[in-house]
Amino acid sequence: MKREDDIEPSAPPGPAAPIIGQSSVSEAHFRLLVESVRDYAIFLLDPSGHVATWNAGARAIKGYAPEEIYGKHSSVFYTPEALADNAPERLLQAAASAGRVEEEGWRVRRDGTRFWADVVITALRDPNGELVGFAKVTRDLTSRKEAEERVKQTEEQLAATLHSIGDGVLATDEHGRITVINGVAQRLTGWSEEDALGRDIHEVFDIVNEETRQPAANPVTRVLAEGIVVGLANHTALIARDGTECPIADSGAPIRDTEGKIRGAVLVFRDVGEERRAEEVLRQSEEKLKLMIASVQDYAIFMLDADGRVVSWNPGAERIKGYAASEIIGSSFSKFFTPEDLAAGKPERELEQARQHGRFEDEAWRVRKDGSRFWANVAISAMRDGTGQLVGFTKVTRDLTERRRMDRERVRLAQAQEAVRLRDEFISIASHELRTPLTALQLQLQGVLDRLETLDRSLAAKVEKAMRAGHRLTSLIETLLDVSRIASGRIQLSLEAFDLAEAARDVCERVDEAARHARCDLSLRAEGPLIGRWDRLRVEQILTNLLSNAFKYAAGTPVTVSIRRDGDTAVLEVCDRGPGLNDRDLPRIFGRFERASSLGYGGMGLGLYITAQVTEAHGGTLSARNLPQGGAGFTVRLPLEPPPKAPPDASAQAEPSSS
Amino acid sequence: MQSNPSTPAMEVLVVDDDVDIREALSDTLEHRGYAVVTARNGREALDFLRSRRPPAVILLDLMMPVMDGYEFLEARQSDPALSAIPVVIISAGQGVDRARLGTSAPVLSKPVRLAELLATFRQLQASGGLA
Repeated sequence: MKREDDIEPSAPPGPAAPIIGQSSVSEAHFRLLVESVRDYAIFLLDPSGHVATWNAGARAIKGYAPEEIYGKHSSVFYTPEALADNAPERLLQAAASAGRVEEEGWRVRRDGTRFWADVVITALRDPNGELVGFAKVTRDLTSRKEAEERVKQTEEQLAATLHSIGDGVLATDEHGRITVINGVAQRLTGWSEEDALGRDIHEVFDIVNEETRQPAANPVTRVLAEGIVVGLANHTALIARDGTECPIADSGAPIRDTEGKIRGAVLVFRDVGEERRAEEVLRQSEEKLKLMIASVQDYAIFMLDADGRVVSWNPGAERIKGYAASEIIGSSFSKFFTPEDLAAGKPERELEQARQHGRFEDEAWRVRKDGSRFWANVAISAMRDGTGQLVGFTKVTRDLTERRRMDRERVRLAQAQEAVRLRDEFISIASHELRTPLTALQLQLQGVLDRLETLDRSLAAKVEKAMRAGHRLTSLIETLLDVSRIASGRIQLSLEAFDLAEAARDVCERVDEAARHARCDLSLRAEGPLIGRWDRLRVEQILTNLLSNAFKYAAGTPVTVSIRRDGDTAVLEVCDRGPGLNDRDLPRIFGRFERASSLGYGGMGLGLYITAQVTEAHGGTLSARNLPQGGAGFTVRLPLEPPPKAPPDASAQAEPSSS
Repeated sequence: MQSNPSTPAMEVLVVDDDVDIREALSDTLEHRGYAVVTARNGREALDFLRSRRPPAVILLDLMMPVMDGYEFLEARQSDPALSAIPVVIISAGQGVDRARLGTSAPVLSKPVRLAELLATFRQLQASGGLA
């Protein structure tokens, strides 16, 4: 575009300026020609620039009638700015010196409106070279210029739009050569506008099937061939110029002109990588949610559609309500209501409440698949989409009868534990209480015996019998309490290090009287000290029990206690020379309420049972056998070190200790 | 049994909250030649011990009000004069807390047999007493 100031003298100089008078065409014809041309203003100016002739074109373009313009200076055609710039004179002078000058610039019509003109001024000289005037040919370029302007604006707008689109846009001509490539397309394909324009689309838009890696069909091909809108197949990847790939989705459409002919194709595409990632994240979180709901067993969590029909089910629902998913999906949730509730229209009201307030909670009876009822806590919530539209409901149902049952069981368990605790306390108190009067009783009897022994033998004998009964009573109480403790699994050992041989000596001394009474010759054999960690009282109890058994069943025979060490075990044996044990009884003697059948000795046969339990509590073993030389032998093996913690009693459960 | 008049009677301090036991023990032991003094609980025992010459042995019950046997033993331990007096523990309850006793004194369980008791005394005498 030429600015008004850019006067470009034509170079090289064209053919010589026409010299008037030399033409072979008659002047009349020539005048006619000039006069009738309407698209161009063709007129003559005198050497000073005044208008000498006028034609139809000049009239049409500039708006002046001939009589209005004859003799006027051609500067009237110029804009004020041009005039200020002395453009008319300059142009004429340029024409005079160069012979011809052409320029584009604004001109002014008669009515003051402007038009963009293409002006050629030719200097006219006579045969002598004298300037006789100028020929001026002016063409109105306005409409063309305006059209050009509009096009330019439109183009600019389009370009702006194109570059603002977040998707990639490629347009081609009817041969598939790229005519437009926007910024996103450039980025995704890796081709710059410069490089891409004019290339075949296949070169720039290189697509393959993501899985097979085969080249994918380019939609533009089909668009140009069939003139239809075409979308890409799924799993298509665009390979950029530098080889990088990205998954895309797109569509192509034909570009038609006003007559409907296909002038090209436009392809719009985008990177779906981000989309896919977002979808994946969503899918995973949905997956997690599903898993969570599926693993909930204690609550029925399921969904209803907007009309209250079941659309999802979880294992908790199956368990609580009894229906498998396949049986219930599609059915109305009113199936879960009792007949009374159905009649009262409760299901609809619940949905309505949820719709209005978003949520509804209640405790009521519900019915299982098998018709049985359960007391339930139900909560129903309305689900709405992003626009607030109701899409359905979520329902959470809890079987309260279960909870109630669990609560009751918990209470029962607590009560049972309390009962056991009370019993333990009772045992503790009872044992103390019972022994106190017994102590006094025994001692008093002993006191009486002391005084009577020398005075009245027969009375003394009676007192002795009374005392023996007292001893049995004591034993009985001991046994009862022990068994009770064993039953509750609470043999507590208070361990201390002591010499087993010494303890055995102590026991033997203490039972010396009983031994004499049973006419058992008691002897103790020990190799030397045998130190271990045991409950002294209990170990002494074991030995005492075995000895009293021996005195009972093998009265009148020698009884031997032997203590020896066997590796990391202490071995304590009590042997007698009595009748021995029945082979039949052997396997059972350590059980509760067992006693060797032959003797009518009173007692509940619990002594050996307790002995066995206490031994076991130490991690030891108790065994019995008949001796080859006659009599019974009882062997207690105790590990020198007790087991790490109190070994569990088979029948017991752990209970809090009451000390 | 008669008490041996030529030897001074060994003094036994019986500490037990039960009056019947105190009486019975007093009776029987006195008849066997011992001199018996009694206290109803650990506190009384301490007061008694601190006010006069020490007995030969203390018979100590564990479960007593005011100050029980365990507490008495604790107090005894910190007093060298008292800890020199041998103790025999007579207990009615089960599960004597050996660790808490802090002593290796013999433990007899109720109802105490006189024979046992006397044997224990003899043992103590023979071994020169236990702290």
